Amino acid sequence: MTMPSGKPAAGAGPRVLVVDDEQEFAAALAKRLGLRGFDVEVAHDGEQALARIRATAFDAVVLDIRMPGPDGVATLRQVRLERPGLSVILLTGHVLVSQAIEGMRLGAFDYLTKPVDTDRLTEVLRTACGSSPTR
Amino acid sequence: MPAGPEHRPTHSHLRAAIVGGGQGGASFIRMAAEDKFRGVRLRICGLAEPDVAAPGMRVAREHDVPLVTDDFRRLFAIPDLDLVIELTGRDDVRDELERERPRHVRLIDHFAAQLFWELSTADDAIIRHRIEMQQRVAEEKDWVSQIFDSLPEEIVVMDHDMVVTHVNRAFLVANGVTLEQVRGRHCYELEQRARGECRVSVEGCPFQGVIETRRPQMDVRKHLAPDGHVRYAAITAAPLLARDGAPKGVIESTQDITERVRLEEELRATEVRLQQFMEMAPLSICIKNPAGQYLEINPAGGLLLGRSKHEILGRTDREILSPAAAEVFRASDREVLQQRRQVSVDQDVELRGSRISLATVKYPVLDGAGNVTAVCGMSKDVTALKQAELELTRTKDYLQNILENSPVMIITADLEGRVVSFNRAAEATLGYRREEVIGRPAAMFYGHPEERETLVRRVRTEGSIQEVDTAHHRKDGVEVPVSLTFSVLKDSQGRPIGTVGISRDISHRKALMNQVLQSERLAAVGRLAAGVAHEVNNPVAVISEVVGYLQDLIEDDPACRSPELVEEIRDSLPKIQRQVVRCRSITQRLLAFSRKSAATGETVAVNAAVEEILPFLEKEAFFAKVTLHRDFAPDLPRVRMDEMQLQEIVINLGNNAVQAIGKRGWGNVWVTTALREGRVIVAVRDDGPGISEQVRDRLFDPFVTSKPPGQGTGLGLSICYAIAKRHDGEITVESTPGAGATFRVFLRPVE
Repeated sequence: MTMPSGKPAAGAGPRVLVVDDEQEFAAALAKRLGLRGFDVEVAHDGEQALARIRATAFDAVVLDIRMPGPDGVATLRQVRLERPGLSVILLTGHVLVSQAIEGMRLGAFDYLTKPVDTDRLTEVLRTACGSSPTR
Repeated sequence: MPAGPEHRPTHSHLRAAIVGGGQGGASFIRMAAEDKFRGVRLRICGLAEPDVAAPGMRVAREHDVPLVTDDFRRLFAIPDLDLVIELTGRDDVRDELERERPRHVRLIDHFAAQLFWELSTADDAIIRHRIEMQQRVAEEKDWVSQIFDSLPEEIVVMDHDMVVTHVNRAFLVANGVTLEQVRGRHCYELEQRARGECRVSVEGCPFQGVIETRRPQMDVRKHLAPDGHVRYAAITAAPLLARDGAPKGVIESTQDITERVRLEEELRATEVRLQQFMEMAPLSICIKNPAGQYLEINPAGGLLLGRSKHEILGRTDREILSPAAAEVFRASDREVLQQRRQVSVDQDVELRGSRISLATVKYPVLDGAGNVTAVCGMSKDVTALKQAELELTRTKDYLQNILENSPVMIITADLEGRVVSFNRAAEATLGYRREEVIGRPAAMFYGHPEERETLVRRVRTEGSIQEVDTAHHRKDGVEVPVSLTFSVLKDSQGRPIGTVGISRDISHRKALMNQVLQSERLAAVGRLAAGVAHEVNNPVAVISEVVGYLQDLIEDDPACRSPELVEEIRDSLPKIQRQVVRCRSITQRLLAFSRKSAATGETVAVNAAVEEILPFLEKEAFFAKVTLHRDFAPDLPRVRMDEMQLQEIVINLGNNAVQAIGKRGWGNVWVTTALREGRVIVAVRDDGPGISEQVRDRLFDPFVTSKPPGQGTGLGLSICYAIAKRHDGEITVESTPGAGATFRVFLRPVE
């Protein structure tokens, strides 16, 4: 595992929004991504997520598909409308191929299954942030 | 009173006086005195004779003749003198007497006296003979008359002019008349009941012919009697001839022959019928003489032999048939001739170029001495019948074969319920060999003997029982589930002769059904697992992240010296613990579903059990944007039920409710408990679209579903129903289309 040397200062790394209704999951994932040099924010449903995206220029979004309210796919659709360049990485509880295909068709950057392999997510996020035009 | 009649008592004597006392006068006096004149009684009252020595004088004195005189004129003075007999032989005396006699005195002269003498004094022998003759004639007449009267025929004797002179007693009795009433009348005036009204026409009257031909004639008359019956009379008329052969009358005899005529008519009708029978009979009938020559053959016989009647009569079989066929017929003829009794044979012969089967009866015609005078034969062509029989046997074998090899059990029994047939499938399935069960009661295949009786009773009233599920007992005692079709066996006249049971072994079907139910359970578990996996995934994901985070921190501070790290660890462990508990509760519920249900006799606190399962529903409801309400009655009694099974029911009903309204994107589901009328009720209500009446009626049947194909087998509700029933409970549904549905589970509390 490649660990970043030293704690990066907040706001220094790529800006990532983690969206998940499971608050403890979102919190823990945010901390781990923070340790890996990402500037992480958290949202707990689609509405919240869209509000944050409108307010902040994120480099990438990690979005849970299954959520109450507008679910991941609906949120993705909206994000693609409002911020077409923003990379969205979908998380699915288990491989629902139909949902994954639907997501990829809508322009998701990639999808990963939960529980998440953090190193794999870090890698995907780095690629996504590198590819996404930063402000 | 005049004086004359006083003398009249002697009137039977003629008072006579004799003139002339010669030999003649003497004889007259003697004869008269001895009363020897036949038919005439004379009293000689006087004698006139001039010669006193004449023989008559002495005789007159001997016989006390009152007056003897020499002057005949004195004789006229004798009182009541009837006649004077002149025996002088002299015409002058006679003439003088004729002139002198008073008017009342008759004169018999010597000539008449001679005649009178001759007539009156005939020889005694002749007289005796005549008397005997007369007696014999009288006797004979009596005897003939008796015969005449004894004859059963009614006899009428007539003279020339058809005037009745006599009838016999039979006539009188038959017609209720007396001789006086008929004698002297014309024959055609008689009312003779036997012959009816007489036809007086000349042609109709046998009398005429008889008189003309002098020969007897016979005629039969037919008439309608007053009682309405036709009667027949035979009339015979014979001439009555005088000695010289001249006809002097007719004797007519009438006999009622109605009965005889009727018998004759019957005989004639019988003969006609016999002839008709011969002509029309589908049987071939022939009569042959002992030499084998045909005497008679009917049309059917001619057709059989393929020859016309005139080709056959008078010929023998050998002359008209092939040697082989002739020999067949002759053989049976010979048998009849030898045995002199009826012979029945089946004959196969080659006639008209084809093989023909005949059923033949031959019998002898015997004369009075017991000799066979003819052989009568009757044959029926049974070729078609034999073929049909053969065909029938084949068909029967074929059907028997089908029954025998049918994969279903076919068991027939007689009216007493004893096994008559038992096919191979029955042998194979029930483990008995045919010989072991035939004749034994068919009830042995049932668990209870009454079961078969019930079936028989039902089949009598319903006609037949189709595909009922029951069980047969195998020889080893194991029950085989069967689908039974049971009906009454009838003969060709429709009379019941027994029963037939057709049973199909449905062990496989039963097993399959259990498999389907089990699969449904597995599918339900699978569906649940899919849902639960998602649930489990979340706590696992949390644990994974929290643990990963702690690992990240420990990697930077392997000795855990940093107080922040310790603080993080302390902070994280309860989180992990919470998620693990979450996981366990989920997996436990999953386990409960996968476990096979069985009534355990446990009791359950309803509210707690429902409360425990609700988080599952809450999750579903949350995602479907359905608000879940709960309203639990406090202090409910416990019910006798497996907790898991109660939860299974509630989760099923709850899931159905959520799914029913889920598509709409909003709605409410109420889960409530209550105690009403001694029952604990768990109700699940929704305000969704409701259930159509059509679906509602079959709601608890297996495989009923409102879900699209692939989303459910429709067994959920039927499983709920089965569970509730098993615990003496019940599930009801109440729904108004468009206004939601309420399912209520009624459970019996523990006493």
